[in-house]
Amino acid sequence: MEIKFDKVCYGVKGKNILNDLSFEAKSTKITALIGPTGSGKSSVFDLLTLKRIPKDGKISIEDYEITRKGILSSVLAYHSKIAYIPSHPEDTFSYDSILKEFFSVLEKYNYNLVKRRQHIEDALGIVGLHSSYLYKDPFSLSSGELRLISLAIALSYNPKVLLWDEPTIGLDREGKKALISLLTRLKSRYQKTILIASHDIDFVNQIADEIVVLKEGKVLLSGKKKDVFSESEKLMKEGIDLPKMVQFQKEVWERKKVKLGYQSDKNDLVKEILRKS
Amino acid sequence: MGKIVEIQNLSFTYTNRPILTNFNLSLMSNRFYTLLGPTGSGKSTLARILIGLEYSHDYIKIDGKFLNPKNIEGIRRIVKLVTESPRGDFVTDTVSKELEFELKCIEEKKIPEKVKSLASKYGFEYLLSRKMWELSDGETQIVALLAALVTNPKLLILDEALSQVDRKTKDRIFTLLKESVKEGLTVLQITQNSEDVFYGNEMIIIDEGQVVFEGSVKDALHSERNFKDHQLELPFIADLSNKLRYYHKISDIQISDKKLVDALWK
Repeated sequence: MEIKFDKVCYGVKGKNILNDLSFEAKSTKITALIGPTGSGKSSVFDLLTLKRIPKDGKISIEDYEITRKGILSSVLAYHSKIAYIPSHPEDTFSYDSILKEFFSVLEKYNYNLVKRRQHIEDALGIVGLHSSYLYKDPFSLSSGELRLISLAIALSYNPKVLLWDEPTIGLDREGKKALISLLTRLKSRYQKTILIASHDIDFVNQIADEIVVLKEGKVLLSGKKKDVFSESEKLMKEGIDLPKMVQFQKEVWERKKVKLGYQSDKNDLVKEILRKS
Repeated sequence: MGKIVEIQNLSFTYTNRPILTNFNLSLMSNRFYTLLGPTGSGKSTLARILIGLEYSHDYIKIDGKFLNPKNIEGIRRIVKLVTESPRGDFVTDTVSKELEFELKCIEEKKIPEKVKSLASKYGFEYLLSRKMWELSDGETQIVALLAALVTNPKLLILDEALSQVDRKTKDRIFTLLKESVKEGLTVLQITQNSEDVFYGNEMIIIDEGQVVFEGSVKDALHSERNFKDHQLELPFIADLSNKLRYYHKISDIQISDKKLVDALWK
């Protein structure tokens, strides 16, 4: 299920946030939205979740279309195909048990009790959490556990599209590792379309396939990760962080005129350095 | 000069879960500390105790005075905590009003001038006219930081406070904070991002409610076990150095890109 933004405009009370924004996110790929604070990343999600409506342009998601007239099909059917995890999912929890959180979501999509239980167990299985988590109070969980629970809840109704705003907030090294393998599995084995927004440029370097760089609501650069990060001058000029590996590569070229190929994995970088030093 | 924080044998539990156990720590004034630790190690709880949001009757002194319910207001005049998601803490509708509010609470004079002066010092004058609800996540973090700085605290605790701010802006902010450190401010930076350790000189690592490392950033980086034993990621350049040292490509850990490059290609 592909996402396509076609010259989308969005603004609030005279302030333009998105200006003729056009980009695509394909299935079996992880597309990462990056850009400076205030460049419009969260607004992209607001439009995709129908929290806000565009002023102009068109958003296509498979057979669905969102324009300034809204979405001219069943909102419920649309929502059942997409899942959105906000940057602070703990803020959206309202019940005292995880099981109730799952139920409140599955109830919307009319799953019967037997099916609900199955979906919940499957979702917990995918994220690697034991079913004992169902009886825990969300308040008692660490931020890493809450992230995984939010992902499980999002996956419980089998959405084709996963939208995630800042997935790495509050995650330590182990948490990030687990997240990387999970997202990789979700895109390839489960063929989901995954669109994330993140400030963690090193995480993006590890996990993304495609990158869309936003600046003031427009696309500055987009394409395959390797190609986007090779435009280091352009990115630096706009104040966009470069992954540490790319910065290092640049330093090696500038200081010693040795060309290290682009890497997204530290161990590959080490091998490349051993080869060329 | 002297100790801005002195904690002896602090133990704190939260609904039957021990968070801090016989915890000891002293922070000197005019220093920049970075506190690292895995999730659940007690970092945020420590921050909340220092600002009096969690109650403890153990030995805790802030700027030489014991922390207890009677003098919390005084403590909060000199200690400020900035958290990762400050949206819920704001009370007014525009950025300038929010900053002015902080000064009104402590009955300062020449409030608009002080607000403008701080905002321009940090390069955020353009945010002053914005409505609070219009701000992006990163912008709210910046406003929360300015609100903490406008009253000139002695101890500034940042709990993942700039996680949504890009590196270029962070670099600018921290350069200015370090100048303030020379002039009397103490900063305690709590972060999950190991790269942030380079903003300061001192590091503290906590795990399972105990201090497991205290010392300079350089010393911390010299042994990767300080990090790996506590589920922490090493800063990129230190990790890369360790891996290359393992292959005997270099003999010493390097902590800057330039130095590592020079060591590899002599």
